[in-house]
Amino acid sequence: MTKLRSLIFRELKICQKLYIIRFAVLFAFSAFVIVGTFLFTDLFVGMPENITESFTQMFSMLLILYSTVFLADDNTFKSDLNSGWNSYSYVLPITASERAAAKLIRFIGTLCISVPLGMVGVIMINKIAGTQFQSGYVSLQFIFLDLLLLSKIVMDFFVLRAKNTDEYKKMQDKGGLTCLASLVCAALAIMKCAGFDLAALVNSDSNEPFSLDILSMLTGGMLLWLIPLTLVLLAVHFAVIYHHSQYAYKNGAKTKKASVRAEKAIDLTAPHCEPVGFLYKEIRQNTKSIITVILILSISLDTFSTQNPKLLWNQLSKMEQISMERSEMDICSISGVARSGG
Amino acid sequence: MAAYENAIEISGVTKKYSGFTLDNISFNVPKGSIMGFIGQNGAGKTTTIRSLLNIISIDEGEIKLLGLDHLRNEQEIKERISVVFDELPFHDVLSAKDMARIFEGIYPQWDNAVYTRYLERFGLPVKKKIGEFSKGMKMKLQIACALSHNAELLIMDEATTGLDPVVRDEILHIFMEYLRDGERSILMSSHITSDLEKIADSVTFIDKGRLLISGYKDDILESHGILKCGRAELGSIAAEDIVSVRMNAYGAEVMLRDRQSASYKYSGAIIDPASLDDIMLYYVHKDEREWTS
Repeated sequence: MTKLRSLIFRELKICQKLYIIRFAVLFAFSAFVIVGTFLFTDLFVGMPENITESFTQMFSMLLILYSTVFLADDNTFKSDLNSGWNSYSYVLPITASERAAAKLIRFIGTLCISVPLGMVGVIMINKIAGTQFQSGYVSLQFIFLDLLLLSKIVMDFFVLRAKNTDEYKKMQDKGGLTCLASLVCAALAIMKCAGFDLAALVNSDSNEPFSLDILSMLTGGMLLWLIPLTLVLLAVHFAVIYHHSQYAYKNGAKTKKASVRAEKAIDLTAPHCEPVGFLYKEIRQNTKSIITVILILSISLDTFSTQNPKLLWNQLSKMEQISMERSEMDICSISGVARSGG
Repeated sequence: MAAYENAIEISGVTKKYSGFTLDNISFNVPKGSIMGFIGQNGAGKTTTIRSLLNIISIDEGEIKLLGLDHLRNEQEIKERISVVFDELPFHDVLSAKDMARIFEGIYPQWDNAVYTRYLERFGLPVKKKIGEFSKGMKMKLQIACALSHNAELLIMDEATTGLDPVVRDEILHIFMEYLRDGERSILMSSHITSDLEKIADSVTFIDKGRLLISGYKDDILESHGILKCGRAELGSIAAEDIVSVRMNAYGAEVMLRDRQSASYKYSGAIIDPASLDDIMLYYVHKDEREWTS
């Protein structure tokens, strides 16, 4: 246990700054959606319930997605390759299972903080909007978690084979394409299991918001198979890391390549430029992850906002009509008061 | 712990790669001694060390560390040995204090007091990030970590490469102190032969994956010598006495295997003592027989 504690301490220490920044972004994003909900509900008092509910659910789903996915990629293996720790760790009295367990525990530990935070944000959004917290949110959380685990399994299967940073980049590209294909297949499989007919919904003339349709499909009963699936995927993830940790001779010594040397030559650790320099370095090193997250966010926003453009237009027209009626009512009540007073 | 005579026993170790083969390497490192493991770049030193540590698997042969089989007793061996590489394998964001926290959980015999003493002796800051250390400081930190858990065997893979002479001398001095109790051993791979001439008890030369010579350093230095002569006299020297011959504009420099018997055989000839550097150079060209620098 003491070895495991030391290994987890090392992993957390390496990711410390990264996690602080990412948790700060998560808090900021949560504050943004909560304030957004507050503004929407205040602005659109008297709006039809399904419109308020639609926006509330959209924000909630985004928050759930963000809190799950944003901590997924932490680049610790790449850092280990870069520093030479990966090779060096094989001369230490650490077994493959301890190595794999440390990585998995750290991953689960960060999820145990970010996921509940996301859920708390969702509860607050629903409270502010006056809508009911649905069990479908919990199912959705587990779906995102399972998709995340699947992507980690696929990526680690490729990436953990790398012997140096050049190979790491190549493996990352291969893994990324395979991961994308796996995620699409998995998402379609989950929708089919949930009885979700995407084609029918897209072609539907229904005036109901798209997000309501998704959430109505996700019931608390789905947890009966989602939770075991999560545990199975965790076990598979552990097995993948364990398998790669065992065979040291596949993970040779680090070689410092010119690109790594060039990157290290940029002195971003000077005190006067540390925060900016750190952000710049993080953006440079995590460009692909950032692009992936932005793509996921924009796809989800696009799905919820443009899938029924007609509906959106109708909703916006209704909002305008209601606000005009309200202002007319206000004018009438003011003039009525003035007449009775006069 | 079972008693053992040799800290390292390598017997018939072979490892094949495409383009390179570590071929039938055998040597022993007696307990309480320092062995210098010398060879050119690409000779096979690091491959041999990785085989010892089971970082790579071997195709043939047997390896014992501290009297234990390197495969069956791998975890026990790794708790009792230390390895120092040429570059610091610790993350830049960690500090010396963090390394203590990490290693005290990994090594059962980790001694924080010893580690702190080494840090003070080396003048290393405790809380400063490793990324801000100089190369010499990084090597000192690695050595401090290696010497702080009562390791019985220290394996150094070109650890003094790139260090200035003052730092190297300081490190070599610490190794001499470390071996004082006679229970600890060091295997030091390097191509800086001057360091090994200072502290090694025995040396092993390796070239192109093959063992050239292995034995006590003083015996090797005593037995070898360089005879300088003209090209005309070269023919009078027996072939079995010659390791190889370096030709130059003035004549020939002949590396002799047995200086003492050669001094009787070729009386009148001047035979100079050879350094480890010279011996390595001449043995590397052994197959050529006559060569020019």
